[in-house]
Amino acid sequence: MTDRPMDATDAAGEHPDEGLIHAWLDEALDAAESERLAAHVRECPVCQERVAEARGLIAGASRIVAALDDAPAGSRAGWAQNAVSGAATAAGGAGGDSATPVTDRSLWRWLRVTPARAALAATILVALGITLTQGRLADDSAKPMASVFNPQRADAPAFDSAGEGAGAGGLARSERVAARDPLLDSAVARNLELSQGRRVLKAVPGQPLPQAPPTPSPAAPAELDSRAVVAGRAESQARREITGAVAADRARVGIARDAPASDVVSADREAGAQSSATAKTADVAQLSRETGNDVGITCLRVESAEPGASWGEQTFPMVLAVDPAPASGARGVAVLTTAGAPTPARGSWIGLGGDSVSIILRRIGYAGSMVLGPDRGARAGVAVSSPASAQLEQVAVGEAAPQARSRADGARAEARKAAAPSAAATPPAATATQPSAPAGPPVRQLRVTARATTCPTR
Amino acid sequence: MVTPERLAALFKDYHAPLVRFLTRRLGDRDSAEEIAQETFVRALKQETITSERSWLFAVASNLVRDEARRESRERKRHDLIRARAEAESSVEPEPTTMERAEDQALARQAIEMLGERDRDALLMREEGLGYEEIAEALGLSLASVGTTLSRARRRLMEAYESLQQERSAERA
Repeated sequence: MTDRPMDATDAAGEHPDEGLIHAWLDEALDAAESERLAAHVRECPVCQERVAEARGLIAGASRIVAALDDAPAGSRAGWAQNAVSGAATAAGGAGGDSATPVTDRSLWRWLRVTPARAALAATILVALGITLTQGRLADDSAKPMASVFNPQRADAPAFDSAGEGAGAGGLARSERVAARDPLLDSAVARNLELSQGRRVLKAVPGQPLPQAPPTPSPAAPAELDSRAVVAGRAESQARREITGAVAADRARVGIARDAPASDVVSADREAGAQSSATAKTADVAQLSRETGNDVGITCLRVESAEPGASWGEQTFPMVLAVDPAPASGARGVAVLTTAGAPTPARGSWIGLGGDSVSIILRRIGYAGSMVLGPDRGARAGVAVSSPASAQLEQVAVGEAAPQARSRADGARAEARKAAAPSAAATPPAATATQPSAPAGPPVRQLRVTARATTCPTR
Repeated sequence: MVTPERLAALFKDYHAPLVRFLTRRLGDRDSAEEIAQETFVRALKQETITSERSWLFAVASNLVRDEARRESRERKRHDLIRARAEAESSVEPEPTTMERAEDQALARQAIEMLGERDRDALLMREEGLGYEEIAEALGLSLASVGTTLSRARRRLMEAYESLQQERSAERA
């Protein structure tokens, strides 16, 4: 602001006037002028007060203006009268129809018909007709609107800015070039989103639909009983581990998720049903907030650097298709091949806090889990799995039960004190839910990396 | 003539700020969207635009005035019907949203009490326009923008506080 002299002073001619102070605070002065004013303010108590007052006015006015942003669509509040009366006082005096109530609504507002609206509607209809005639598939709702603004469409009708309807010519005079402009389309789509609100799909409150149990493999009928036991245990464990507190406990003390069932059940019972339900709800909500993937199925491509590595019987890489977060309970996970082919394996997606997740493998004949750290472009983690026979042998180990229970109790008390953030502060914790070293076959611990990917067509 | 590519860039850069400015100005997002669209259509027909942002905001302000006059005429014809409709449609606001709605109503009343130039200057400034752009959009001298803004801010605060006191007195 170079044409404003520094000697723009108040009536007394001693201090810079209020406008100059506001210009200074708005950083509209050039460097030299700004420095001169700053030097003066440093020495002048009067101006220091004025600057403080101006700062308050700027902040207060911004706050009031921001309050206007709550205006919903279709709530025009007698603005026509105010704008006209405001025009009459354009010289700067206080004017306007301040008495006009905010709920003022005209018949035209009720009918929601204005010349501009009629013109827009007509334009959209014509553009839609042209679009259909040309055999283009309307793949999104933004297309008809896009044609309104797409000047590259020589056949698109003009929008008469005078509000008298769709005129002839206008946009038709534009030079015909490329068919569509993706940038413009996306901008118009955003425009539609602003005006119509984002369409969000959310899970219906209530119990999740029961899922059919995994189909036992017909190739090995003799193992059916033992596999059913393992599957049942995996399910009940998934239900137990739904609480962030339990998961945090296990992360802390490194208890294997394959600890004796009776031990874990008794520990969980102590946690209390109410706190468990609360933690579960909070956990799912937190996961939804943090991952932002509560809308639709999201997919992760999981890879392991180790050749021939597998999770259950599925070799890496694989795709995990994660269901939307239900109102309660764990998110279901389908294990797919990278080509999108389904596999018998499924899983339960359990948030551990801090965006870390545990995925419990649900596959007859196998038990396993995968712990993934926070999503920082990719999720690093560890996957473990073992055949059912190893799990059965682990269940038979009973001596460690009391010790494990006491460890769990202590850790749970700590977790309660530290609340959820403490769990979040324990990041990837890839070793958290790994099975303890079993007496049976060795359990492979695989370092894996998961990245969000486009869900393959199944 | 503004090229389609340039128009797309303008739309991308300025549509959201323009709609916000107009929403604050009008108190209605539908109308703000309409006028913003009209503004961009006019930009398309414009031969040249030297200072794009100030041009867009200036045209949008003019469109607000034009549309306001047109609608005002309609309003006068239907005052009686409107009053009847209001009486029939008066609904007590939800208690939980009352406070927020009141704040917004006060802000709306306060902003409407400003002179048009003051109001436009303030809303443009809140939208990030520089002093030069505001001067160009409103036909002011650069030196007077600071004065205009300081006056607008002071009057807005005074109006808001005055309305708050009135509201408190009514309740008491």
